[in-house]
Amino acid sequence: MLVREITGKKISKKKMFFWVLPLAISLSFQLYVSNMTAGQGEELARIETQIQLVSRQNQILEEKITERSSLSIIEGRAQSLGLAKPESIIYAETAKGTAQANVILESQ
Amino acid sequence: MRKLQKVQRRQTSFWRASRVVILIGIFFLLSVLIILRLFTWQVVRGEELEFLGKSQQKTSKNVSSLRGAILASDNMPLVASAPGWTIWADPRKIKDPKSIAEKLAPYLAESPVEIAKTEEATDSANVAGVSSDERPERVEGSLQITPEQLIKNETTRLLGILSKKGAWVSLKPKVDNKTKEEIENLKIEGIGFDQNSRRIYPEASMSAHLLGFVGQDTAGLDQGYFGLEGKYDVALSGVGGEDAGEIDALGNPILVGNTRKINALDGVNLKTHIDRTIQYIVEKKLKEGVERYGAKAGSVVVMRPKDGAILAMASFPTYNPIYFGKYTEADYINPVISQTFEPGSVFKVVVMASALDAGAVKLDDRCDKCTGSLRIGPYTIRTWDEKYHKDATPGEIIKNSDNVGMVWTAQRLGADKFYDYLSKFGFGGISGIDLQGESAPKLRTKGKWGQIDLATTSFGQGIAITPIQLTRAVSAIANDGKIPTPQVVDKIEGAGFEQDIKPEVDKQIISKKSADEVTEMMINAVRAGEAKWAAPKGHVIAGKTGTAQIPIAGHYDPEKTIASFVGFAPADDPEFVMLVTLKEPSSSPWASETSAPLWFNIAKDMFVYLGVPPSQ
Repeated sequence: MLVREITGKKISKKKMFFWVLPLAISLSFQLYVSNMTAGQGEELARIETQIQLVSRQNQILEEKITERSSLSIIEGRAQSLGLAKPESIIYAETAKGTAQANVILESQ
Repeated sequence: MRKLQKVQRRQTSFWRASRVVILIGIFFLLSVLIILRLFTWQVVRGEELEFLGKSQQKTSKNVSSLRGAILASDNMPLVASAPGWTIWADPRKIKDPKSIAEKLAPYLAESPVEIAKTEEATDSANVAGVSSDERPERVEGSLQITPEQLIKNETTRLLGILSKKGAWVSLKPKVDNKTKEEIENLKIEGIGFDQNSRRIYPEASMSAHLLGFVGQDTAGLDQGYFGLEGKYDVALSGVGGEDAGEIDALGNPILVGNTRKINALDGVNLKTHIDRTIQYIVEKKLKEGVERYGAKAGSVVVMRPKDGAILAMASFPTYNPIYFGKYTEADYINPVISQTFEPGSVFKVVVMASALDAGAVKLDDRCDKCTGSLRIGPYTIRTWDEKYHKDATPGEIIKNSDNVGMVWTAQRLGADKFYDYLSKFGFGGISGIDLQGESAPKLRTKGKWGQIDLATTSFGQGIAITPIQLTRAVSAIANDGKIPTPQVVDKIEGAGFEQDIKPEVDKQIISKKSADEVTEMMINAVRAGEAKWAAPKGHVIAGKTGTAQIPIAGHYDPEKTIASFVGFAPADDPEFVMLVTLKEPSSSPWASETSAPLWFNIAKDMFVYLGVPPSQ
């Protein structure tokens, strides 16, 4: 009635249906989606926490690798395994270049 | 009767009217109360309630970026970021601060191992003569502190913090994950944890001067200071992000709610030219050298002359960047780029290269002033050993490290040309190395050089330079006369990109012929000079010793010296240029007996590592 008074035109029921139906469908869809996703926030929070945890564990593992590949650690480990620094180096000319051999002299 | 009825009707009508008025009044009063209540909520407590409402419905947190790592040339980190925690307390919930402090202290107290690492960086410098009063803030004698004492000290510190009033007090920042988990397992009420990151140094104090350290700015945010941390602070820091959205009553995110997510951009990684093995060799040998020769301090810098790549840079005493707060500001300064010294005889190779390039002297020229000491005004120039070599050639002048011969060379070159060549070799300006804190001592103004200035500068006295300037200048001789720009960072690596930092195009400052001639002189100086006894057999090394007196209050100290050795190897195709300086060695003042053997000692290990066989 109001619409008719303002526009001065009569709106057919068909047109009204054309406008109202999509609105109703989209509202229903929104209701459905909201209803479906409302409970999934917890799942999202859990996944995000999991990502953070894995990322932190990754960083901790990287830290361990870094620490264990420290040259001072490697040197200490090598010494404990009985490896020693070569006391003399022998170089030999070969067809492909110079070969290098480290020699550890036996202590008397 | 009728009258009574009339009165009753009147009364009824009055009560009816009154009830309406009362009802209107009640409604009015209620309306006023509602309006007042709404006014209180909307206007008086509007902002507060709006904030409370939003905080219940919305969440917003800053996402911090991870500070980038600094990598050696083999991609192993020299410094990296790892998860860290700030342990904090809410003193309102702490009922018995003393017992809580006692519970936490064993976890938060410094371990004796950590203190030993801190002292290791400086310990032998104390042996060598750096008095404790010169470094008042450094931890002294902490190795004697027992673990029990450390825990007791920590308990006192924690008790002081826990006794404060407030809702949040920091107990210890940058605590590692293991300690955090151990404290968490204690389940102490009022103790909380905030995640952040901390810097880890796998090689402890190695390359400390080169790397710099991460402290906090006035806003309490991480900031890099000195070295690479300072120079590349913005790039390493990255940019923080934001994660904002709506949450439900349980605090879970609402998927269809308004969200705003800005991902943090982590800091870039810096891949340096630093060769971890060479750096390790250099640091170890330098520390041994400083101890053996009883020096106050020492520095070594190793550079690849072809592109200016810094392969190693070390100074001793050094500091431990994790515990930077325990050192004085003087400890942070990188002597290789920031401290100036009078170079002494190592400078002679630069002067000779300039004179040869300018044609002021030729290889077969003979020094006609080398018969004895030389008088310039009130000053007398003598050779270091008081031996004079009549008719010495330029080569012999370098071999004998002849001061009089160098004065003759500089006088033939002339002061103005001398100045120009020094500028070309990079003296008087910065070397351009990509580290924070480089100093650039000025040259004496051109045209204002007196005869004595020309004379003393010719043998490296009366001029102040930095070790990196000298290394760069000698690199030009090693690099066929082309001067490289020292470079520490090779590549910048970020998420999905890699930027290769190309070395600057080398300028030809002297001819290849002049560079070759000086190289030959330096080879001869190693073969037949005072330090020949220490040189590794079979390797062709070009080098020069330098023993410089130290200026103090207008004159030179008669006993104290700075002993240096600069050289490159293999001389025909140099893999590296290396400068070793030792401050005030006490076993011998001479470079030939201190810095030169140390140079050769480092070079021997580098030859094996680099696979450089002896050529003879």
